Amino acid sequence: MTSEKKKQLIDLSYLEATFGNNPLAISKVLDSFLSNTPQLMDNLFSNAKNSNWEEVKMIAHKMKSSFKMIGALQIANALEEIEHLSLSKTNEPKVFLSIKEVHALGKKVCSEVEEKLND
Amino acid sequence: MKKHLIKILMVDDDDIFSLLVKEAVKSEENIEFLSVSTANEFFDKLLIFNPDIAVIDYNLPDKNGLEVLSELKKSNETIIPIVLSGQIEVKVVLEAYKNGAQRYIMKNENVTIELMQNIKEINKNIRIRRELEAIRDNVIQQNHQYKNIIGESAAIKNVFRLMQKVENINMPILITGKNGTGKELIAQALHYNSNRKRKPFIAINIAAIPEDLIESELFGHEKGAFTGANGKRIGKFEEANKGTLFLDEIGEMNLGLQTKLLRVLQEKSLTRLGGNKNIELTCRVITATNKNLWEEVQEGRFREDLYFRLQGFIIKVPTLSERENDIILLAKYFVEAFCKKQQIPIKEISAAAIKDMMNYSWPGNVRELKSMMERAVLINESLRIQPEDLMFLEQRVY
Repeated sequence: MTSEKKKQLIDLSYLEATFGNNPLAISKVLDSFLSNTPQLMDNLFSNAKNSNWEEVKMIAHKMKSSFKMIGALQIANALEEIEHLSLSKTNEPKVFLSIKEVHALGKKVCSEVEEKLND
Repeated sequence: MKKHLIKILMVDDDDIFSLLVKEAVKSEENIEFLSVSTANEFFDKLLIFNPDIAVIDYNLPDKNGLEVLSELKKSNETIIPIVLSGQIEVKVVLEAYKNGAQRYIMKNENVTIELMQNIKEINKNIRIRRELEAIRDNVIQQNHQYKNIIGESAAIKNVFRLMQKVENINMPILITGKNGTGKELIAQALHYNSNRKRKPFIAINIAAIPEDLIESELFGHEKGAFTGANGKRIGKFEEANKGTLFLDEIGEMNLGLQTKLLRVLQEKSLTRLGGNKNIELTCRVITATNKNLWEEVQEGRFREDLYFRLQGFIIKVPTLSERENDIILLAKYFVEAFCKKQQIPIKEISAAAIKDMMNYSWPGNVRELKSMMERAVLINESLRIQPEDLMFLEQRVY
């Protein structure tokens, strides 16, 4: 059980603190996250493949706060790093690796969010 | 009483964050919230939605948040902008404030708390501003078409005709007349019937301010300008920004200050005491005096060049005896107003009292009349004011 707890990528305490006793509001935020994030993840990946680093930077910037809000700090920090590394062409390989990692983790995060919604 | 709605328009391409703010704002009463994702949508909604507060994200897909801020400030100065950003660089923060941001909030884990705190504070300030605007609108309404000046006589109607000619002309006006004739009322009526009516009306009586303080009072001072000047202070000229500055008893101004005033009127700019920065003069200047200013010029007590500068247009206010048709009208007005204020039945004025009032010279003019009627209301123990309730000058015991 302890190892399962450790696998949790999200932490909704920020949303719970913000919205107090309002599960409906939290659900709306999670719903919105699920509606937008998979597409953004795909866009991030495809733009990185095509070396559109300006787009990569913008998408990473846009996504990081959403992941912070649901407590997915590992990914949020990775996105912040991607945002900064995208500024320099010499970082391309490193950025691409980070994006692949984020893409994979992102799917897990979305599953966890979906589970929370179904709870 | 209906509470005022505060409208917030937010532009942020992060849908989740916008949703978070929308939900947080729901907890506040009287807030209408709308969010858009792009700068173009923001400007489309701006006119229709007409927000009080604009929340602007620094990174937008079609425009930089500071550009949005700058364009917003040019189109509407009354909307209060808050900038949200993940940028922590000092120069970005400074740029935001330079471009007119009222608040700059970091997008960190406390962002919604900080945003809500700022919105509540701004909300309070907006409510105060609206209350002041309502008070000002009330004053404008009271002064509309010179309603605040009671009179039907030919003499006062002539004054109204002159006032109408200069309501919206930006030239110095000199109002002359004996004490108690209502010079300040005339100045107020000129202001509140002009296109400056929504700007400040600042009145200052030159004779009432000590000589060593009057210069600072009018022109302001910088910190350290003199002993006791512990901070910067703006003067009446600046306070009357784009409005009207009324200088009563201009004839009492000392020669040194007259020189400075002349320079200000000529150059249309001023400097604060102890300062060297030129500040543009944007107010209209109306002056008043009970003296014969030309006599003062001839006696060497008033500058000739200032005299000619001030009397761009002269309005002479008649004495009460020159508008005797208004005496009873005014008397009845003051009796009614005072009775209402004291919450007592409105008293009439007997024919005998009217006769005495019409035979009196009224050296104190309208001010004396008002004071006499209020006293008569208090003294009289019936519903009709009698001659014995009136106290003319010769009857006063010193």
